[in-house]
Amino acid sequence: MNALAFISLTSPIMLLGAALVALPIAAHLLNRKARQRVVFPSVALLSSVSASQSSFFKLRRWLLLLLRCAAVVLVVLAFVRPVWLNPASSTAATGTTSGDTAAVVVVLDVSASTRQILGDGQTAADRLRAQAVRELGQLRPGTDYANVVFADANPAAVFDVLTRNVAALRLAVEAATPSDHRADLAGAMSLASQLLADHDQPDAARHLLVLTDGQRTNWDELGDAQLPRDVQLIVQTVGNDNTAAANTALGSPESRPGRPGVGVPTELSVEVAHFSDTPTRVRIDLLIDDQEVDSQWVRLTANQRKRVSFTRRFESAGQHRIKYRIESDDALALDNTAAQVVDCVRRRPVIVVGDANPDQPGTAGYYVTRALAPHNGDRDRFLVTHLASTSVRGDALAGTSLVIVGDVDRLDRVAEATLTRYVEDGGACLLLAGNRPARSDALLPWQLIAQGSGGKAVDGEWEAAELTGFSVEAQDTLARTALGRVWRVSNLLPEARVLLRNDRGEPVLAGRPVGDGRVVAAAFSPSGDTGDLGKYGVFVVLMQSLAERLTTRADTRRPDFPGRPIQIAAADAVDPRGPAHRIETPDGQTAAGVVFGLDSGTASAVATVPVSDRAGFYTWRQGPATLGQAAVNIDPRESDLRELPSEALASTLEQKGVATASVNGIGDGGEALRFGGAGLWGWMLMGALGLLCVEMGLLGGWRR
Amino acid sequence: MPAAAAPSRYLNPAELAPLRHLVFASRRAVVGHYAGKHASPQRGHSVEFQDYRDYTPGDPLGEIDWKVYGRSDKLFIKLFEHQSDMTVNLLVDASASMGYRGLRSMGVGGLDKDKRKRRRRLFPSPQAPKPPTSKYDHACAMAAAVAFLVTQQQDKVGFGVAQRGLQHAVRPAGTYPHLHRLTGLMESVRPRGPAQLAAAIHAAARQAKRKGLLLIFSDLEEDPDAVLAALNRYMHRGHEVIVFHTLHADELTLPDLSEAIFVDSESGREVRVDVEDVRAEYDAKMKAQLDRWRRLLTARGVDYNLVSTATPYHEALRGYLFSRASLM
Repeated sequence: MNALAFISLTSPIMLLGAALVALPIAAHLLNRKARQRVVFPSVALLSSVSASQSSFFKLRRWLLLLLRCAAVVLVVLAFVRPVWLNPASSTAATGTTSGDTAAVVVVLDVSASTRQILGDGQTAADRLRAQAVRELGQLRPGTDYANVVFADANPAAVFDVLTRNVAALRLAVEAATPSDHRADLAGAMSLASQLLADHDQPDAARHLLVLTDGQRTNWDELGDAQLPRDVQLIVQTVGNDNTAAANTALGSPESRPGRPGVGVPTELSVEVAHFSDTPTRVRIDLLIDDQEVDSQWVRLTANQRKRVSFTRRFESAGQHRIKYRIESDDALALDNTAAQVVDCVRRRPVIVVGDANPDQPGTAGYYVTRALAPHNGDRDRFLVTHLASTSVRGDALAGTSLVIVGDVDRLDRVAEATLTRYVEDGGACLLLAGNRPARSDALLPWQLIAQGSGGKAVDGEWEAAELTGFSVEAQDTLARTALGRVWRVSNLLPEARVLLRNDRGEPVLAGRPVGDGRVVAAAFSPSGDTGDLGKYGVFVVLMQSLAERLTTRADTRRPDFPGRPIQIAAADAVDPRGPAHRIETPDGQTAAGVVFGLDSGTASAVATVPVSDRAGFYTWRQGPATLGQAAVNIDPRESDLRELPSEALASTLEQKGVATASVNGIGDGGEALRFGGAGLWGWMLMGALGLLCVEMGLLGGWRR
Repeated sequence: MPAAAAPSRYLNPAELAPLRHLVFASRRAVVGHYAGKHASPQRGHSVEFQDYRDYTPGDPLGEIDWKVYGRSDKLFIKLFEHQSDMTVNLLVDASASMGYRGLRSMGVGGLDKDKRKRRRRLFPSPQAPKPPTSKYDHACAMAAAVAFLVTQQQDKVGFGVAQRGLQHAVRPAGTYPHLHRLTGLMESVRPRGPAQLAAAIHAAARQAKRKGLLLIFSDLEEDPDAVLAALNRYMHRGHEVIVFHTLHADELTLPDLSEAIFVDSESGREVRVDVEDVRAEYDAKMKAQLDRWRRLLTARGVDYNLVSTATPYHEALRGYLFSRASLM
């Protein structure tokens, strides 16, 4: 009877079929009564023959009846689908006894790294999916509740609540495909925990099964996943023999300058990372607008990262598709390409902030504009626009290459904060100190003390990047040019670098890094009320040199990764009467849920894709026209396929307060959930067939 | 044979035509009233010389061989063979067991009714189907054929039915009307009850005045000792006995049945058997029983012949006559 306690009947209603046992019994009885009567000439011989066998015949009939009844019973039991619940495994592995109801949530890792090819040629996603299907198959139909959470950048469950419809879950798992996202395991586990906590059967044993590729970068940054203590956590990894597959990846593409001008040398670079213990040599191809234009061979040592640069000049303005590519038979093919969109401009935008009228000769804005855009047209290398200090708000400085602050009455706190944020985000700023200088401590490399006669800039750090445009002749000319009224400064910051000193040795031009950007401050001004500097040609050279160098900052915009929203700015004018707009995804589909609007700062049209699922180029199309593009690359952390060892993973989970957690490989322990036990119906059918074969064999033997 | 003879179930001229040239004769000498073609222990006036004997006073002077007297001066009487007519008695077993026609007549086994109908529709027969032949029918047909041959060769044939002893006994005669009387008598008898073959043989022996042949058509479902005793007594009087052991094909080889209750046709006794299970043993015992009859009868000089209803009677009879002629 103890053994019977571990047999579960899947369809007990089918036990009604046991009534079919009446069939062979009825046949047996009918066969006895319906025997034919034959009037025979003489039965003397027959009686003498049958007398010796009558007892054997009775035994034989009973034996046949027994065999037939047993066969019918076994067939009926096969339809009942009995399951043998192994007492050792069902309690030890899951803590669940045969009579309990289980609530299980399977967290299935569908991140980009699960596309890696394992040693047996199978992808990690395939193995995880097969294991998920196998685990769901262990659940007892009609008894256990389950749900599946797909762990990508935006974890989502198949159903809102736990369900007994395991078949639907299995279909969902079988239809799942790996994404290009980075897995948010913390979010997925939190969602799973919430589903388990919301399950309305308090007595059910709760299990959280995480099927993952065990990527170290995922689990090291698990974050603050909240796991209830009454949930048993089981983590199964693909178990790729604890050896990370060799992978070479491209990522973090950059262009310098971020918005290059036409014909301006532009440095295009990409980071190539090699995750392997053996060195390798790869060729990196550069494609611009789908045309292969350059390539480089790179030798990489074990686990080395290297940035590889190409210098190109763009012949036309507009957005260009930059693609880096390597040919490598590594484990993950998804990161063998990197995409980038470079917006090439005909004139680099420069904003001059000042409260004086820039069109009035003698003002700083006037001289700066004349120095940077002397032709006031397309022949100029810079596009100078003017902005009052009170207009420095919000995204007013977005997209500009350089901000020059000239004569300002007062740089208020909002404008100062906006300017500071712009610089910290990688912007460049030149602060000119006129009679009413901006006294921003957050930006200035020094403190301004008092204005006085400035002398001449006779000493300069001519090797500094900001002054490399100065020729020897220009240096001599500057040394002979009076700077006019110059501010004396003090408290020079340690990180500041003095670029020019006057003949008294006092710093008059210095630069400092602020955040990701750079600030250059001048203690003088070209305005007419401080001197005649603005009237000299050397001032033009100085401004051109500073602007040229300060606007070569890299494109430091936050990279776009799959799973996050992306914004695509329209590079061309939007035709309001044109055909419908659509965003084309890298795989040629049309993105859903796109919001089209206007950027408040630049007043340009912007399309926002709520979730970018795939890595590659997203293209904003209006009919055949392309309005804008954006590049999405997989998170570089997904390229590191090294697996976190089971002990370290268990330790990580312990630190998260998980009371009962088991970590093993998929191939180590077979099924983690063993509620279902082993089906016995196959054995039942085999037994029934065996009995029928025995019956036929006996009949054949007896006839013979 | 008269042209206006009434048709008989047991006498089919078409089937008997091939048998006309055959002669049914006795292996032993027979005694008859009239001159015939069969050897007789009597001396007569035939052309066949047999022997000489000394003359004794009173012998007819015409029988003295004067040529021998002229050569030897002794009187010898010349003896010649006498050929007589033959008397054949037919004894047919009419017990209930002889009425067995097989399982098909009872609707048991073989094709079921629907299948027979379907087959009849596909292969229509121009003639009405013949009813199955019983052992009695087969025996009567053979007996009638023998009677026909005997009558044809101008011998006498008698008839009797073994049914609770000898019944319907008819004295021997050699005319065609007598033959038709016999066949009519055969048709009028219905097999039933026991045969009591021994008593019938005893009665037949009492009625047989002269040496002749006794042909017994029976399935021999009798006590062998009693039958053998009766035959011994019959044969002791100089008669020749021929036994046609007539059995149905179902008796020789059990029919194809699974399980059935077999009811004895005479005693009503029932036996439940699975035919397939007992077939082998039954065959062995049947063979042993047939061998026993053959051994017992041939040891007493009885001509024993096993006849199956599966073999048409005229073929069985022709085969028997050929084999008998080869032994004479």
